[in-house]
Amino acid sequence: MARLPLQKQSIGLAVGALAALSVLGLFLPPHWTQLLTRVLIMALFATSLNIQVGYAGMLPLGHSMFLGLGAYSFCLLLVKTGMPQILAFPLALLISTAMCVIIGYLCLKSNEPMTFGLLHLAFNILLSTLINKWITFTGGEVGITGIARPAMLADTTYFFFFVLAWFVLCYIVIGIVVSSPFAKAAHGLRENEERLRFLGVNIARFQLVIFTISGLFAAVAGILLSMLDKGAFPAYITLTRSAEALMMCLIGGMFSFFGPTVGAAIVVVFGTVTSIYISQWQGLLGIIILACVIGFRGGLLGRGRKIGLSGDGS
Amino acid sequence: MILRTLNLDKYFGSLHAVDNVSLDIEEGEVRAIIGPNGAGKSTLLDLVSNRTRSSSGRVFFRDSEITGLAPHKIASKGIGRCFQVSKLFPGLSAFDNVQIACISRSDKTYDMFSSGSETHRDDVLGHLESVGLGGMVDDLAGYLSYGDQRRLEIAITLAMKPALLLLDEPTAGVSRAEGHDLMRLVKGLVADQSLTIIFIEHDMDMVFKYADRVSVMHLGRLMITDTPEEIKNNDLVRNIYLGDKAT
Repeated sequence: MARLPLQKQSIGLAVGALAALSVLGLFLPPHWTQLLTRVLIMALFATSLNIQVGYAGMLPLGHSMFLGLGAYSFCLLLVKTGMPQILAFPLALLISTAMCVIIGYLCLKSNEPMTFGLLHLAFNILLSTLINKWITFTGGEVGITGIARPAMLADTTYFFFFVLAWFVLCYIVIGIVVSSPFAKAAHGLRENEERLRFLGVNIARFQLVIFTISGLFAAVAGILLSMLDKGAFPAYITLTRSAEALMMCLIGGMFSFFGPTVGAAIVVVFGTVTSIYISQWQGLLGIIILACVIGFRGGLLGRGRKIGLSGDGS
Repeated sequence: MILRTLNLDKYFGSLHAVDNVSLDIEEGEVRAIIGPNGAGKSTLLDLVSNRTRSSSGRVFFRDSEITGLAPHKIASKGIGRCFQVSKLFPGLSAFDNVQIACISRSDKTYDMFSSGSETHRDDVLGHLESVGLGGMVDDLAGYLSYGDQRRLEIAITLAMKPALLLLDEPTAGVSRAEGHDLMRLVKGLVADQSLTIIFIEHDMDMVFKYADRVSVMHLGRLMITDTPEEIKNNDLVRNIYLGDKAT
C-alpha cells in the first residue's frame, strides 16, 4: 500500500475480500449478518470522510451530519409523502447533496483550516439540536421509527447483498476518483495550499467539490443505515458519531484506501461485541486508538511514515 | 509591454512598504530588482501576484488590468511565482510536484475519471530534465537539497507555461556555482520559451551578469531603472548601498 490510488494487488485483495464477504453473508446467522451489514455501511461512511481527511488534508469535525441528513431526508420523505422507497432513495440523495453544497460553501468561506473545522462542528451541533428539538417534524429523541424495507429486501440476507452491491459500487467510484488527476491536485492541497493556489487553482471551489463528493457518499451510507435500522435516529448525527468516523480513519490508516474500512470493522465489531459484556466499552476503544496512534503511526494499514502516502508517480 | 504597474502603494500600518511604484517590463526582458533589506522588493512581487492586496494603484498584464484579481486567476493568466522560501509539496515526489502544475495548466484539476499517474508523464519528465532533476524523479521534494528544491520550484512554475516569471532571490542559500547554474538555466529559458523574468537578487555578480535591466528600490520607492553598466557606476545606487542619505 505504497500509495493512495488502488493498485493491482489491492484489487486482487478486494476481490478476495468480496468473495469472503459473500460467503459470510450467505452462511452467518442473521444477527451476525446484520452486524456485517452495519460494518459495510460504517466503512462506507468512514471512507467518505477519508476523501477529505486522507487525500485532501481537510479536517471536518462534524461529518456525521451528512450521515444524518441522508437518513432523515430519506425517512421523512417516506413518512411525509408516502412515496415509494425506490424514488425516495435518489431524492434523499439529491436533498442531502444540495444541503452539503450549502453547508460546505459556508464552512469554506473563511479559507482557514481551523475555522473550517469549527464551523463544521457548529453545523453538526445545530442540525443535531434541530433534530432533537423539532419533535413534531423529526420525532425528537425517539426519531422516526417503523420504516419497513420493501418486501424484496425485508430478508436480512437479501438486504445484506443489497448493501454489499452499493458498497462495491461506491468503492469502485471512489477508487477511480482517488486515482485521478483530481486526486493528485487534492494531494497538492494537503501538502501546500498556497503553492496550489499559485498554480492557478481556485482553492475554495476545489475544496467545495471534494467536500460535496465526500458528503454525497456519507448520505448514501446514511440512507442504507436507516434502511438497516428501519428508521432514523438522533444518534446518527451526534458529535460522538462524527468523532467515531475520524477514529476509524485513524485506526485503520487514513493514508491508505482500505484503512478506514479496517478501522470501521474494528470499531463496529468491537463496539457491538464488548458492549454486551462491558458498559464502558468506549474506554477500551480509547485505549485502542491510543495504541494505534502511538504504535502504528499512520494506522494499521499505514506504513508508519508520511512518506508512503504519496507514491512515486511512475 | 508585458507588465505595467501604475502608482502601486502598500501600507502596513504606518509603514509605507511600497511607495508609488510604477514599473514597466518589456516582453522578453530579464529584469533584476535590487535594493537593501526592507526596500519593498518582495512586497512589490506580492502586489503583482496579489498575494498581498495593494493599498492603491493598478497592475496591467499585457494590456488587461489584473488589479485585485484572485491569485489563482492571475496565475492562470500566465504569471508564475517562485517564493523566497521554496513553496513545494514536500510530501510528494518531484514528479508529482511538477505533475500537479501540468494538471492545473491543462484544466484537468476536476478530471476525476482518467488515470492520475500517467497524466502528462512526458511533459513532467521533460520539465524535470530541463532543470537538471532528471535523476531525482521519485525523490520526495521535502528531502531534496536546498538547491534542488529551488530547481524543482522553477520546474513547477515552468510547467504552468507562464509568460512572466517572478523569482524571489532564486540563488539565495545555494552555492555560488549552483547559483550560476540556476541563472544560466533561467536565462536559457527566456530564449527557448519566450519568457519574461523579474528576479529579486542580492548578489550583484548575478545581477550584473544576467539582467538586461536593473531596477533599484529603496525605502519602498523605485529609485532608478537602467542597464547593469549604468547602475554599477551610479552614485545614487552606491550611496543607497553604502547607507548614505540617498535623496
